[in-house]
Amino acid sequence: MSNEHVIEVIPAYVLDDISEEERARVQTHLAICNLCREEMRVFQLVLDELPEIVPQVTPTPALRVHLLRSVASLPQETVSRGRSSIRSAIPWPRLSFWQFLQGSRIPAWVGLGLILLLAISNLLLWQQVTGLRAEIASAETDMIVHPLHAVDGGLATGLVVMDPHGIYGTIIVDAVPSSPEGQQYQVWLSRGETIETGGLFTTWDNGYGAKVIYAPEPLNVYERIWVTIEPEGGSEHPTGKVVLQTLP
Amino acid sequence: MNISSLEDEALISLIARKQVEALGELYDRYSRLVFSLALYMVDDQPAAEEITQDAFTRLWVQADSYRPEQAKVKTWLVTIARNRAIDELRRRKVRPTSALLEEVWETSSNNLEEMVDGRAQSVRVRAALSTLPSEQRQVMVMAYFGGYSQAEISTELAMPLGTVKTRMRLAMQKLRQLLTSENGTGKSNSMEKA
Repeated sequence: MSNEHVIEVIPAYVLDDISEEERARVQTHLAICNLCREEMRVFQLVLDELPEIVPQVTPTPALRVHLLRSVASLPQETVSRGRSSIRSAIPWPRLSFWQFLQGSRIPAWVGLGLILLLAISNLLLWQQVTGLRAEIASAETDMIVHPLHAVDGGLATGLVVMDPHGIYGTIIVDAVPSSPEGQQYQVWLSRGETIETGGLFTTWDNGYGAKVIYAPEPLNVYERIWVTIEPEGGSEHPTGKVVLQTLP
Repeated sequence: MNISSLEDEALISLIARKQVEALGELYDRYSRLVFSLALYMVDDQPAAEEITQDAFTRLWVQADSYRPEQAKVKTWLVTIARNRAIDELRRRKVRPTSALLEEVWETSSNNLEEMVDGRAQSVRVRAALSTLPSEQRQVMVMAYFGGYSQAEISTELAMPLGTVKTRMRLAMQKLRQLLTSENGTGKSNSMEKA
């Protein structure tokens, strides 16, 4: 099968509109066929050109700030993986501790002293580890949570959860009815006279909904967060009924 | 080190080593393209911003798995953003209709002469797309910008799946000829540079 050319399905392959089975067949063939691989490369170049035709719009500067802040706070897995691989490359003696002592010319009492020293050192290290664990645990749970309350006294409820620096924030709502046709829920944040939108969301049939909040400033600088119902696509300023809000 | 003079691939290597400045540089190069594509597809600014943020975050997280021989950095980014936009369209269960996509295409094509910002590449691609027979351009635009699968196009346009596949292939072949021809609207090496 892999010897059959796959030129016919390459357009669908580069558009990622292909079944898993067919994708496997195409990939197997591409690995051995220069002709089809070249065909795919050229089709991919054609697709690369298409985004150029859309009207170019510059995103708000806040998005860049938010992106760079958020990635900087992500765990650096790659760096730690690199370190562990370096460590594993360091040669390590294959003798046990007792073999090491027996093979050496160190007197027995010195050996016992060493054991005692190691035990004390382990104890001190253990205490440090326990302390660090406690610090990490408290840092991980040190999230800021703002409850949201229904304005009309109804069942709708919600939370805004953010990290201590206000870089990440998510709104989670419950018992909020699905928005009527042509409308969406919109998150608002205010500080003084300034009001910013935090994004749009819809709820599922069970009244549950969640949305990552984006705002030009860290979320913890805002004094009030609330949700209104707005026309689909959102509004520049809040115009609709307030559904949920933080308490003053 | 002057980071702005580095090639995309070199920036990816730095991003794999978690250098935020390198991501900032790559963002400056491609955020407009990625954001514009997302906005064009989902027609919703907050969603387009979320897609853009996701695309660059994914690049940050997966930079060490990037293989230059498989795709250009721009291709990688655009593919991530386009797939995210398609997911968003599917989640909303709202798709731009073929008529709307064609309308948007016509409107933007009429503004060709207004494009005085030096985007010769864009003009060239538009010119190439304009020369396609409308039925071929329609399936191309629906597939790429509307996120329609070939089966969905077949249903939407009430035509056999085989016809959709043929039109798609012919459209791609024609575009390839137009964009790579030496004496046509562009040269192959200019595509490589894009």
